[in-house]
Amino acid sequence: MSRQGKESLMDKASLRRELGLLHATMLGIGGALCAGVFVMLGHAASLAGTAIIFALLLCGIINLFTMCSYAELGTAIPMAGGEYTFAKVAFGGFVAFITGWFEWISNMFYAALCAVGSAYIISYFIPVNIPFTAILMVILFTAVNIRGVKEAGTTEVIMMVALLAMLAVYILGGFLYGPRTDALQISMPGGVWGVIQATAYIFVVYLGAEAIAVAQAEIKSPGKTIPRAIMLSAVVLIVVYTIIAYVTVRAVSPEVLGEKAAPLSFAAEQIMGGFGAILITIAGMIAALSSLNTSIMAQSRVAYALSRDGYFPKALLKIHERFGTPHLAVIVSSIFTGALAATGVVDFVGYATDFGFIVGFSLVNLSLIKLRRKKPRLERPFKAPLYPFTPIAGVVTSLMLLAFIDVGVLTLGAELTILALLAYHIRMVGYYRVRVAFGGISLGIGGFTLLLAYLIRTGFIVLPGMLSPWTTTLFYGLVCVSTIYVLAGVLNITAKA
Amino acid sequence: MQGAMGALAVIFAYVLYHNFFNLQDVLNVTAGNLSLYILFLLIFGLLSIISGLFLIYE
Repeated sequence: MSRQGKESLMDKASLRRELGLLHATMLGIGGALCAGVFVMLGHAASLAGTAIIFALLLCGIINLFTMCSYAELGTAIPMAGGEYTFAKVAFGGFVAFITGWFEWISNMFYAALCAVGSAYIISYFIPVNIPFTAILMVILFTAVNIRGVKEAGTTEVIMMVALLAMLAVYILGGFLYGPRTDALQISMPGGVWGVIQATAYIFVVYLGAEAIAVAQAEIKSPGKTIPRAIMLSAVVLIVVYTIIAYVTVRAVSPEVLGEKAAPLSFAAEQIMGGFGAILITIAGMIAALSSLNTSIMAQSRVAYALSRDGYFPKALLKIHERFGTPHLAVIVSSIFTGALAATGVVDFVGYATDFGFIVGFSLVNLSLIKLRRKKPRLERPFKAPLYPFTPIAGVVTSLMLLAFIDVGVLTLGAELTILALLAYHIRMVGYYRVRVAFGGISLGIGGFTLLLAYLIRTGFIVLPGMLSPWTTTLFYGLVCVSTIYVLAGVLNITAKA
Repeated sequence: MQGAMGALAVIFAYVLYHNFFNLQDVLNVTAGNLSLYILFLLIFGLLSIISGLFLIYE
């Protein structure tokens, strides 16, 4: 049996396949329908005018290219890990690791963004402490994800049905509401360039649907369910977003929308009064929480896959005996998410999410092209149509979006790449050598502290304003620190390999 | 003990940064030097925690 086959069996034995077509589709829609569309539509409309409808349609088509790649790879390689697993089979080595690294980090940032976003939406009704509420949200959905994948999937279905129902009420209300005078005229204040800018800006609202591919090891009949769920969720998202954009610009002009912090709530208030504003605010909260649920599931599965290959500690592979979930992977990833959520900084978290996901999209499309050449006989229950046009279009459009990203975000991305290089190098050199290195650092600190103590004692270094008794205390304190560090250094260096 | 000292260094850096108990004035730390002290304390703290964890793990 091939290594891949063995791993596949391992996944099958350890994670339960409990998600059907409905669960999987809702997972995809829930992953994408985040708070973004509720707050970002205004600025996008100010860039593209009423052509925001076409910008959203264009985003959906670009997303569809990459979703075709996800569907093919998801069915051909039905193992946990999503993009990371695809890149591992296609490229292996550092490319696979960096794909998994960005996938893990971007899902953590995304989860933190959703938690902070939901806290801000709650604060619209009740004055709450934002970081504390965000952390509470993370804890709540961590518990749901530990409890079981089916529970997480069922929670997603309930939230998505409620959310789609609220959006349906908004859309219906929008159609019944009389259009403003020039609503049906296509306006593009920034021309075609403005529409492209809006496309790059609002593309984030489609991110997250690939959670289906990440949770593929837990999907029933993956060969049939994964492509159907991915395509279905991609099409539903295009329809929902396009109609929402149409109804919104039909009721309120793009110029006015661009001035509002919560454009959809404002439009709902114009259409249905106070009830509409409350309805859409609740919908925004549900959207943020459902994305939080999905991203917590996705990040833990990536951590699980990275542990499986030895990049992360093996302890994260542990499956809960009763619930059948990788509970340690869920908890560890959620601790980082909680720490990020505690900052309450939305911009930083949002930018990092964008960068990570777009890099991931490009690598998935490249993995598809590579695998078609490297393993032409690999069993593919679903094949991306119009190959090689679709994956090439996916790469080109993803890179195009990357070009529109803020320079500060690109710098952050470079920093995260350096961090990944360090992590990969540490994993490659092995535990023993890293430990010896840290032993050497401890010895160095110990020696330096001892020298400092000696110089203070002999009066070579005089600390301004410090009295003699305190200098003696400082001397003994530094000697004590030095002893501890020298001992720790020796113990680490002399440890057995 | 090494790990605990590292944790104390990180906590001290946090207290110094937020100027709890008016620590920056007490220690006569200028705004220009603050970031340097914080950086040193964080590096020292993190290295100590990691090195300490190696020993605890053993």
